[in-house]
Amino acid sequence: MTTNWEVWVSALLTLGAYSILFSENKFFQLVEHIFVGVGAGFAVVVNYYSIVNKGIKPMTGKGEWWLIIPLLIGVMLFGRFVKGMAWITRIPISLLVGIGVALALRGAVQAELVQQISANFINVVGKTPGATINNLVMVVGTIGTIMYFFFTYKQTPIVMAGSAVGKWIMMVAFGAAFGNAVQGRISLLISRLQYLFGTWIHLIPTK
Amino acid sequence: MKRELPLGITAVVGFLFLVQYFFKIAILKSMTDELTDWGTIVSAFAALLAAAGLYKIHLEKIARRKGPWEMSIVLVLVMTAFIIFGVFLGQKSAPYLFLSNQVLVPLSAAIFSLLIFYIGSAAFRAFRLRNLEAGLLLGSGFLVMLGRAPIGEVVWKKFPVIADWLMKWPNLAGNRGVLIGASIGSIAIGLRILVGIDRGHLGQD
Amino acid sequence: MTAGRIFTFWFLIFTFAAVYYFMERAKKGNLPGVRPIAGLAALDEAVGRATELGRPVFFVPGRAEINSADAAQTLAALEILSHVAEKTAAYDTGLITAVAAPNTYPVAQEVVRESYLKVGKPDAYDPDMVQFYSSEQFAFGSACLGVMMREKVAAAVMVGFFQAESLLLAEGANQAGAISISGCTRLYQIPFFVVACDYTLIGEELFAGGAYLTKNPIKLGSMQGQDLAKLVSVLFVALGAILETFGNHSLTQLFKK
Repeated sequence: MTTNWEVWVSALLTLGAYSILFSENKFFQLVEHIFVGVGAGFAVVVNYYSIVNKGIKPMTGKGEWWLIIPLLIGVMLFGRFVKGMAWITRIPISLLVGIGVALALRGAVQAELVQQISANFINVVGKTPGATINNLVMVVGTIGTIMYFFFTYKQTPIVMAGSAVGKWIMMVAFGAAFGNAVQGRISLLISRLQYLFGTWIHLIPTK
Repeated sequence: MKRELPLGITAVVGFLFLVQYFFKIAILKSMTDELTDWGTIVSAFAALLAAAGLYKIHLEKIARRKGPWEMSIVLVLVMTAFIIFGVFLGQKSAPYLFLSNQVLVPLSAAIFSLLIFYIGSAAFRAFRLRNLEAGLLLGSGFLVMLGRAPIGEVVWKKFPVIADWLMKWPNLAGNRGVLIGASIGSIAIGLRILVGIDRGHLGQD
Repeated sequence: MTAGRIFTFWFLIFTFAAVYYFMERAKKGNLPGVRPIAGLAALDEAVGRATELGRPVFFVPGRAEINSADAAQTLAALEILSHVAEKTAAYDTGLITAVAAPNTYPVAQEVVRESYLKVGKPDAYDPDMVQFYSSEQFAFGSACLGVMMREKVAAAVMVGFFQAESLLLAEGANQAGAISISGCTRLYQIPFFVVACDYTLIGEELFAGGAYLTKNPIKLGSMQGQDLAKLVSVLFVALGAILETFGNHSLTQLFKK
């Protein structure tokens, strides 16, 4: 068993995290609160340096005076604590939402819409009957799945049939993705067990 | 003013980013780069605000002896220590690195590795469902799981082939359809926010 | 115009126009019917159950920042939060909103506050109904697990952008004995939600929340415009595949412009 106290800390925290599998208990609560404390502290530190390195230092050191604007906008988030000034919080929020919405739109229309549609522009008749079936699964499956998301069209037999195909394809797709993740998750557990049984209690050889 | 100004900011900033994406205009590129940095700075203040909220909740719990308040003491102490180490001693100081490397990293790995147990319990519950959709979901999940596991190939060498087929064709088709639908949803909500129809995020006057 | 984005630009304009046209039409009273969406219909049932049991509702609006490329999911989740908070306000049911993205925190507080004002219960609003745990993925996940179990939440609504913590939250809700409703557009996470939750909003169903729950005519009109864009997408997929099969690459080239 190791005498390195840092490894002991990590190992005991790991055991505490695993204890949630049995029930919510004091050991897990302790680990959870330490984890949240460190996690939130980490966020504060990282963001403190963002303010300093991206705002204050270039403003004072490089003469980028205009950075006073985002710094002031950031401070406006605290306007809610000043009576009658709560509305001013909306300014930073509106700036952030403007950026976020535009980034979302750019990503959605190019990579998720146009490119996903054109990825189906394929010669359906393949070199073998099997290839043709695969291509049909792709094109019909995509069309059916899109039709599943028709919310306002009358549920005519065509819409219903397309939507049903879409639902089946999605279920097969989700099942496959779920099964595909299992192996990776097992590897994660093995890596942690190696740490506990190898690095910590030396029951198995470590690399 | 209290409402129009924020709506105007969202619209101007949003359309600026959109125009920059489609048109090659050098000045717009530098403007959007600058605004992206502004976003990072403003978000950093939001992190301070959120952390203050976390402090408030736990200090109140301690003061009122509410819930597992002893744990709140631990949280406040650990958080404060981490902030002091990071801000005053620096991100390369030994205590800061200890909390990062021996607490944050292993705990993240431990919680992440819990997922395999939850995959098992979730799949077990899903097995009890008896309809076509659940059958398709579990059937394809089981086949891909077998195909990806070393034992699958030992049992029947076609399992990996079936797993590859399921991932390459139905999985991709389903994913494409979902993406296309979701992207149109994103575009619509984006438009409604940019033109000021959806404004719930700004609150009331 | 930037090469490779010309067609994309016009498709975006078309989608904008379709949504805008149907919103204007809806303002004049031409409202579409909407097919049932089980996950959204179950929200009221979930709040009702929490009220009966005298236990809180747990809400997570995903982990995406509002200035990120995944902001649309967070904003859609906040629309759903608005509805859930109105219900919890009306029935005097507890609400815990867990936030991971710091800049979503003030927005979520504003949304919940507004909902309590809207149903005439401003005094029942408590800013601590919205709590920031951590932006660290698994610190947030473990906090959600702990809170769901300690508070014995009766309903867990997890909608928005999620990564690997999705299953952690879904199983935490199950361990707490809560009815679980999830929603996500992220392909890697939808399968976990579908398997583990009682109801799942798949992909665009998440974005339908605002219209479906509020029955707001403009948003219903928007839904109709979205459907037209999807119909056009279906036609493009079919036409593109047919043309390619017959050796015609014109549509493929148009999409690349």
